[in-house]
Amino acid sequence: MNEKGNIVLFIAIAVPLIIVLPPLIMELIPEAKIIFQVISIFMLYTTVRGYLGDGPLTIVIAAILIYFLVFKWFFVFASAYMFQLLLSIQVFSVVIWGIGTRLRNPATGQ
Amino acid sequence: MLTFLGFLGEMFADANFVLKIFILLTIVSWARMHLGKSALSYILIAGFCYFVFFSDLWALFGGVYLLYMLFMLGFASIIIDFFFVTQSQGMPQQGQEEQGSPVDSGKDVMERMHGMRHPHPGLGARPRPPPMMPG
Repeated sequence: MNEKGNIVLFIAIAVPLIIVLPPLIMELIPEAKIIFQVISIFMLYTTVRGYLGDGPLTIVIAAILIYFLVFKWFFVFASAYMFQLLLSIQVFSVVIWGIGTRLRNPATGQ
Repeated sequence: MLTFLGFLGEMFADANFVLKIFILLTIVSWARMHLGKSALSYILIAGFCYFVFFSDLWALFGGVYLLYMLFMLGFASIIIDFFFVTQSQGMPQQGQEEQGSPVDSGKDVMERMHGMRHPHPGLGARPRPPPMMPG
């Protein structure tokens, strides 16, 4: 396998590891799960309120989203939220840059 | 195996439902931003919701919304970074220079511009007329 194959392999291993990290932490530390659930509830309510403003519809839609995302599929939501967070602060660009420098040939510098 | 497939099916159905709620939020927010809380705004919301959720084009609208969200979050920059890095890691072919990034030096840019001006070697090197001599 050449270097291009290696970098694809590195990314295919590194990205799932980063995404699986929050569910793993929540499984090992139950308090972390509770804290993250509370944060997620506030975040979802704020998001819906930002779209719809104050009102009964906001509470209904926020409650539906909180049921599905925070109670039913929380581990999936935590991974997706981590992916979104990392994507929004450009962490994957740094990861790809770091892998690229690691695979660089020291003799030629390329 | 069937249990696992049922789990995946349930997750997919719930994810579809949550995605529909987020699209509904986007539609409501957009209509209210442009038209306020008028009757026309509610008619517009109802029309959009009918086309997006209840027509046969839900797969298209859902996919487009997902792509839109990914690109809004900067997914394109990851693809660009990835191809810049992998291009510099490729093995050079025999008899070919090793390539770096697409634009890596001023000399490289000049060579490309020269190549664009004279795509055919015969056409590029036309003889100039002799300079006029003072009488």
